[in-house]
Formats: sequence, C-alpha cells, structure tokens
Amino acid sequence: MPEREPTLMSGVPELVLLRLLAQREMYGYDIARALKLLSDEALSLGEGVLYPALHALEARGLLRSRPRQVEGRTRIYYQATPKGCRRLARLTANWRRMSDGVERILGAHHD
Amino acid sequence: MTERRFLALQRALIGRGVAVRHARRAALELQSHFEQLREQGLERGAVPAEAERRAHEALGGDGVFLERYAGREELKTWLCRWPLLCVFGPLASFAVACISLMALLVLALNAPRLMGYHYTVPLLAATAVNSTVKVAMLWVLPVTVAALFGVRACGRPVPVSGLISGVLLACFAARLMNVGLMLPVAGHLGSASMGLQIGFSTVANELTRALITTAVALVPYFLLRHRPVTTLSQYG
Repeated sequence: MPEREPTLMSGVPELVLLRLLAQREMYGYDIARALKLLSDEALSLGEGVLYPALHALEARGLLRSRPRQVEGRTRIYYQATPKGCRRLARLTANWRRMSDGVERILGAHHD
Repeated sequence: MTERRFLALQRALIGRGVAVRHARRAALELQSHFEQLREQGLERGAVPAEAERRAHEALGGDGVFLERYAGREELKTWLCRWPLLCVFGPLASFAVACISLMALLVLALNAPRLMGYHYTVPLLAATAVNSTVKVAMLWVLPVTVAALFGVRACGRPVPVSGLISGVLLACFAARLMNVGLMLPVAGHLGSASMGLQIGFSTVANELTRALITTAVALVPYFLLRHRPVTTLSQYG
C-alpha cells in the first residue's frame, strides 16, 4: 500500500465525500469501498476518519441522512444537500486551481 | 464481544463529550461496517473466528475513533461546547420555566372571565392552590431544572465546579423569589404575582436553604456519575 502524507490529506475527505454523495445516496461501508476502488487504492480514508467526517458534514448541513433496514441491519444512508452541492462546487474549483499550480511547479525546470 | 466493543465505544465517546445521538449512531454504523467486513472475510473462505479478527483489525483501534470524534466540536454536546452554559444555563432555564408557567397560570385564571363566566372558589381552596403554586415554583421547579442539568452533564467532561455554581445560582434565585396565585374568592378578584425580594437580614438564611436545595438537586448527578461504566480497556 502506498505511503500517505497526512498533511496532504487536509480538506480531501470533505471534497471526496461530497463528490461521491452528490451523485447518489450511499452508506458508510459502501463509501469506504467506493473510495478505494475509484482512487485505485490511492485514497483510503479509514473508518476512523470516514464516520466522524460524515457526521460533521451532516452537522454542518452539507449532508442529510436517513436510516434504512437492509437484511435485518440498520444502515445510515447519506446524500449531499443543496448546500453541500454548492460547497462541492467551490471546493472543486479551489482544488483544481491548487493542483494545477502544484503540477506547474513540479513540472518546471530550474537552472 | 463484538456488541460489547461497540457499546463500550459508545460510552467512551459520550465520556469524551460527544453528543449521545452521534455516539449512538457511530456505534451503530461501525458495528454494521464490522459485520460487513466479517461477511466479506467469510465469503473469502476464512473461518468465523479468523474473519472476526480480521474485521476488527481492518476497522482499526478505538483510540482513533475517540480522537477523531473528540476533535470535532460540532459533534459535541452543547454543555461541552459552551462550558459557561453549566453556570448560567440552570438560572436561565429556571427563569424561562417560571415565566412560562406563570403566563399559563394567568391565562388559565383569566380565561373563564374573558369568556364571560365569573366564578369564585372557597377561601380554603384558593389558599391551597396558592400554596401548591409556591411549592411547585419555588422548590420543585428549580430542583427539577437543576437536576436535569446534572443528569445531562453526567459522564461528560463538564467541570463539576461550574455545574455546582450554576445549580446554586438557580436555587438561590428561587429562594429570593416570591410568587402568588389567588383564585377569585367571594368579594375579591383573583391575582397573580411574581418577583424578586432581597433582604439583607435574611440573605444568610436563604443562602443556607439554597445550599440544601442545591445538594438535593445534585443527588441524581452524583448517583449517576458513580455508576459502574464499562471501560474500553476491558475489551481491548
């Protein structure tokens, strides 16, 4: 598994969670699996980060949740709210600008 | 063992100041997540004990959850987010409860008259109602409000000194208060009154009574605070 830099991960959980949950309703295990698959295992938030982040986003009104009984088990499904979608648009724009900047620096040749 | 782990985690989260609803949901979601990891292990051919062990490992240590939740202010209970509420909350709640109750009583007293129905009650009944209102508002209400704050603070990282000060403040205010509710008796219209009265000669007595009321109000807090709590270390 590739090594992860915690300092580079600041703000990433919020961005990727909002991105996933703006597309469809998902529950914790589903989200964890989707993150691993979609990022080709480059991103794995870990349950210790995932659930507190989901609850905090919901407390800020960026996500809404509802419990559902599936195969005798209670699952909490999350989905982005309109406020969450607006926040996602801002975060995505910021992320693209920043990553473009970093890419230019990394690709630049210094004499 | 599995259920006990998540129950212990829930209690530990509450002990760190996380709001009960978030702690309950965290335990529920993590348990559901664990069950799915275990099923995944079983599908891959692991024996049940091995699948359970791997699921616990994949889920990670409880310390990480505790740290992450404790670091999120928005997930904490309001008594932990704003510790000053312990000091001024009981007094403010008592004041709001008193004013609301008195408004309801005045409304109830005047409602028949406003509808054109004039009534009187025997003096003995009016006196009994007045005494009941005094006991309810000056003793039962402050003790109940303060006890509720105590129960809310149980098992949470709330400063005990702040809580005691807050409860004492509310109980002292109750001791300085005067309330009265006289139903209409023959020859007299009904009346309702509420106010604060400070007499320097009686302050010491009232403070003593407030201390007694405070002690009574905090009994549930101290009883619940010392109940045996399952710790995380028992379940590793």
